[in-house]
Amino acid sequence: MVLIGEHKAVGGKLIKVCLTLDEEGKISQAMFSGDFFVDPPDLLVELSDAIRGVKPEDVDQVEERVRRVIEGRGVAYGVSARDFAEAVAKARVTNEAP
Amino acid sequence: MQLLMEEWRLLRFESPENPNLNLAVEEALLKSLSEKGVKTLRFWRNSKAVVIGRFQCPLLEVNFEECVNKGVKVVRRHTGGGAVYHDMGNLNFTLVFTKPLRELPDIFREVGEAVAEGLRALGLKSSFKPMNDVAVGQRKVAGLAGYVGKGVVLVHGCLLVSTDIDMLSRVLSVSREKLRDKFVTSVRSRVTTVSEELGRDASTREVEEMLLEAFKHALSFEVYEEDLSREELAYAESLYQEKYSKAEWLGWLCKKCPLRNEHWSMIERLLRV
Repeated sequence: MVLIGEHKAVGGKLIKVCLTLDEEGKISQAMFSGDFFVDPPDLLVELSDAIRGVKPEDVDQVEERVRRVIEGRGVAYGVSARDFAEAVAKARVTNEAP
Repeated sequence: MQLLMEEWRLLRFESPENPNLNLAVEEALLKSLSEKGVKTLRFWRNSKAVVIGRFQCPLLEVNFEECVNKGVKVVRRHTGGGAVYHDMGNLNFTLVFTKPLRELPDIFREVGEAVAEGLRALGLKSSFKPMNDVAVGQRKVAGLAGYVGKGVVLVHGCLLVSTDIDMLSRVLSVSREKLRDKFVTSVRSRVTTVSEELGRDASTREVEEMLLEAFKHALSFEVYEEDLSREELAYAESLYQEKYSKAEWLGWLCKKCPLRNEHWSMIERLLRV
């Protein structure tokens, strides 16, 4: 079952995340997207990979994982590590399109 | 003593029916700057296309059925930022230049303030809205996106001159979360056009002249008009063939996304519009 989360950062940028959970409720697969700017571009894939194994509601842990990737590898404009974590925490099963 | 003004090429190359080629040209301009030092100001348009940002999922940003049924192409640019609807009433501008040691938000401010200044010269109450929007009053009229490399900058933006806002509202899927805090419930009430604000039909050519003067003034350059070189076009066409026209580019975020199975056939369908 796929969960989708959205979070609007201060300043208006929107982070979206699609994720799945394993039987323990931990993230097994995730992909972030949104109207922000990150550099290098592959950083987004690394961010998404980095939150595997964490429970979505563990906002501090998700934030920490995201922060470590950003600080070690590049830069993000318009969004913070906390914003990514907030998007994950808001992920729900949705019946809306697509 | 008068300082020598920089000279930038003024380029009007456009391929409105092929938005992916239009986007490939953008990358070709960056290559020309890096290799030959050619600074460029480009004006261009697309005919009925949604252009999504580098980090967006097309299926989360567009109304798939509307795009397919209305023949609206969906393409991905190589810069971040949000999805925008383009038609021939939408004027795109691109600035490719050198600017050492500046960050993207600073560049957006410099270019965004120039766009706002130009709109004010037309009589509109326009202002730059960080991080990358230009508004008339509280309604967005232009958006910026960009790339900053080692000393090289590409900033491009779209300005709604007489864009079909109803079509824009139908093909873009804007979430309620995005509209939150703006005290509006629809895209329609959040964006405007130059024509709507002026109360008359404004042409993209008229607005182009305004932007040209605003950019020359803000960034201190003169222009010489020149077309795309044969070499640039060949490079852009190869980028179009090998990158922009491929499902792997439009759906690059799909490779690790849990929605890949549902989305991939839709991505391929969008490429056939």
